[in-house]
Amino acid sequence: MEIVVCIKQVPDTAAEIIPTPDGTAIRTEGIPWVMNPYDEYALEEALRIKERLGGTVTALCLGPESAASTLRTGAAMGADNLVHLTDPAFEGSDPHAAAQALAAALRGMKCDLIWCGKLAVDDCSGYVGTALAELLGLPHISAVIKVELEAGKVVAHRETEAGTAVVSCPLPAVLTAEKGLNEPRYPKALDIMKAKRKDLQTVTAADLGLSPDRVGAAGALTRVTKFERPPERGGGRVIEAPTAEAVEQLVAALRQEAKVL
Amino acid sequence: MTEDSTAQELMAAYGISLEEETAEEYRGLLVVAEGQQGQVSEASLAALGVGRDLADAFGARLEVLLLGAGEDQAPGLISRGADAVLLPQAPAAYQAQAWLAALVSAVQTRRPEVVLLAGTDITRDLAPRAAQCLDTGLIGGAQELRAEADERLVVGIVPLYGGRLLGEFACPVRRPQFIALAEKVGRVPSEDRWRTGEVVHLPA
Repeated sequence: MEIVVCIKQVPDTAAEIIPTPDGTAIRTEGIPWVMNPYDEYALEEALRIKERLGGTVTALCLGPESAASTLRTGAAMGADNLVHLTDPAFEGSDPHAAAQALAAALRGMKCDLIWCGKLAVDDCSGYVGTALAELLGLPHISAVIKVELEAGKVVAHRETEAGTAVVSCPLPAVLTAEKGLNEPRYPKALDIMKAKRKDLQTVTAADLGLSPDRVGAAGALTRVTKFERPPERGGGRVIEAPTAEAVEQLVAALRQEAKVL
Repeated sequence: MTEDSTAQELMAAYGISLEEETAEEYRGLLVVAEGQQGQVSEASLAALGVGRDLADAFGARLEVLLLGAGEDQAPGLISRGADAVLLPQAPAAYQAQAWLAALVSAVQTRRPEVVLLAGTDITRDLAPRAAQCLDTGLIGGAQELRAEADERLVVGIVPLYGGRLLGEFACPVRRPQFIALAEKVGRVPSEDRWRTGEVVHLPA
């Protein structure tokens, strides 16, 4: 089973996120970077499948040069091959532009199964996984919490509002990982050391035959007009009045301000 | 890897570029409504309310694509703000491929400038794939929308980094603009039983 896992480097979930003064980007100095947690579930599941059925796991990452450290984390967890899509032309990618680059790379790779996280915790868009399936003409199952492989097909459980849905599709397919799929392993110190020396293939837009206007900021279909910090939560409010009046005021506030009634 | 046959590549093969078309060819809103056990879900009705406000700001028509429920649900959608209810040929139970085909085909034939979807797991499964198939932009998980009526753009305010930052997004490049709401956004509009609208059966 040849498995490719798309992983993304994101700011640590505990890091403070501060917009730049002009509000068009975030300040990146001093931010600790980690593998997107949903991608960790995806990679862990890919490794478990490989351990059961054999094959290889390739970690594929689109990102700046500094994102190589996240690929090394993938190698320390057990990924066999590391592919880094890195090129100034990819800068300013939105999820759509990122999907074009990843799809171009995947077209050149042999794979039976493609894993992504269900979303990246930075932009929270959840776009790339199923968009890749569309670009590659493959079936997808998103937000997977359990997976089984049978001859030539995958059976997956996904959480829905109505309960758990059991969905199957033929291979090759794209799956996206939901929290609860597994508990990702911590790499051993020795594996972290070994991962530092692992071959890492870097790939540019030109290598993928992508024209510069389809990738990066030029290929983006969404624009960020502004980043800002959310307003601070205000404190509670005490309604002081005789009971009957207080109830009226409370109901009015719930209707008009909180809009919960 | 398998041979692809996406709308985007077919269009590229025929030398068609969406950008060559003028945005004026896309008018009105399309709200995607989902049925649950035959009834339109509350999340979809709330999205209809959000869509009605946008449509009023744009002075535009609002159509609802109804998936997973039947014609008996159309009057309730019209009384809550739909100008038309579109009934596609699609299975009542959610099936990604069939619903995707129904949504893509509805967008291609109705040509809305905005496609609005409720914050549901079906939307999260379907919307990116539909936007990619139509090669257009998607704003996902918007907790608030603002209509820029002069530019006919919808600005979506999206919580990022687990809510530690808010981003304002727009899709100015292509049409339609796909907007998926965050969970629990909008309120179910009250019914106006005197409102009128059409019911349109879409061909397969």
